[in-house]
Amino acid sequence: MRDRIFLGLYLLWVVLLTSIHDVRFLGTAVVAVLLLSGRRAPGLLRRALGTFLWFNLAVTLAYLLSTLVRGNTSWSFVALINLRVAALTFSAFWITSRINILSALSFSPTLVYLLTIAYSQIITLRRVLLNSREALRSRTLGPLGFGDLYRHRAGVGAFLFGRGLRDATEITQAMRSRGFFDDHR
Amino acid sequence: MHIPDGFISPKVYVPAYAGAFALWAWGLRRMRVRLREETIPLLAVLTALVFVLMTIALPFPGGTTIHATGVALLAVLFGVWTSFLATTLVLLMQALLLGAGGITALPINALAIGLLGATAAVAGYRCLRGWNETAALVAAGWLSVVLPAGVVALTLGIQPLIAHAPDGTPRFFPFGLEVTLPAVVLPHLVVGVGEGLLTLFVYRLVGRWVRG
Repeated sequence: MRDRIFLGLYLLWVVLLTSIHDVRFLGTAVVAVLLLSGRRAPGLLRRALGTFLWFNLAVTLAYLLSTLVRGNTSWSFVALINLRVAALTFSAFWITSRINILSALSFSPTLVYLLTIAYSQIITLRRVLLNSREALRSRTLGPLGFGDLYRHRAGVGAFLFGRGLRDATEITQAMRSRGFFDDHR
Repeated sequence: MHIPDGFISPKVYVPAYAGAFALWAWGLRRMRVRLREETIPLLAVLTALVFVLMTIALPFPGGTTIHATGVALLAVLFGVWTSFLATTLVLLMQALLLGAGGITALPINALAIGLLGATAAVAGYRCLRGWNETAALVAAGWLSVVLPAGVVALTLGIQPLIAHAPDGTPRFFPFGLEVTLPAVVLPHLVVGVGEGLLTLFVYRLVGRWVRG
C-alpha cells in the first residue's frame, strides 16, 4: 500500500511540476529532491544528467542562438525549462530508487505479470545481443561493409524473434501447468 | 524521436493520457479475444523484443548509427494493437522501472510511435504487397518512423502556441512548427530507410515461420 501511495503522490508531483511556472518553486524542488536523496545524491545527479543533459543543452543553445539575434532572450525561460526537466528527472530517479514499482502497480495483476516477464526476457535477450556483438568483433579483422552489418543485425533480430517466441510458448506452458490461467479466469 | 519529460504542457499530455487509456483498454480486450492464454506471455516477450531491438544500432552513412524501433515488424507480423501495447509497455518500463523519465510524454510517444507507427506500417504493407512485397516491407518500416516523427514534431511545435506567458514567452518547448517540422521530420525521412531495410531483412528471415 505504501508503494502505491508513493506512486500516486509522485504522479501528482509530476503534474504540479509541469503546472507551476515559477523558477523559485522549481529550483526549490530540485534542491529538495537532492536533499531527500541523501548520500545517493551524487549518483542520482550523475545518472539524471546523463539522461537529459544533451537534449536540454541542444534546446537551450538553439533557443539562445535564435533569440540573441533578435534581442528577445528570456533568461527566466532558460532557467524554467532546465529546472523543470531537472526536477522531473531527479524525481523519477528518486521514486524508482525508493519504492518497489511492481508492488506499486499491484492494483493490476496483469500489468505486474507482463512487466515481470518482460523484464526477465529483456535481461536474457540483451545477453544474447551482447554475445552476438562480441562474436562478430572477435571473428572479423577489418571494418565490415554496410551490407554485412545490416545482414548481421537482421540475423540477430531474427534470432531474438525466434528465441523470444519459443520463450513465450514455454512461459505459457509453465503458467498453464501451475494453474495460473484457472486462477485468473 | 522520443519526446523527453518537461517539454509538453499538461494541456496536451493530460488529454493524451485520457485517450491513450481508452485505447490501451480496447487494445488489450481485442488481443485477449484473439489469443486468450497466450496473451500475457506473448505480449511480455514482444515487449522485451521491442526493447532490445531499440538497442540495435544500424550503421548509417557518415559513420553514425541509428536505432531501430521494430514497430513495423511487430505490426506486420502480429497486428497493430499488439505492437501498440508492446511499445507502450517499453515506454512504461523506461519511465518507471528504469527511471529514465518520460512519464509526461508517455501517452504521446505511445500514440505516435506505437499506434500511428503501427497503423501506418500495416496500411502501407497491405497497400503495396500485391504489387511488390519487398517494397511493401521497406515502405512499412519507413512509414512507421516518418509519420510518428511528424506527430512528434507537431506536438512539440504547438507548445509555444498553447502554453506561453502573457508576454508571449514560451513555458515548454520553445520552437514553433516552422522549426520542429523540418528539424524532426527531415532526418527521419532518411532514418526510415534504415528501419525499412531492417524490417525487410528480419521479416524475410522469420516472417513465414511466425505466420506458421
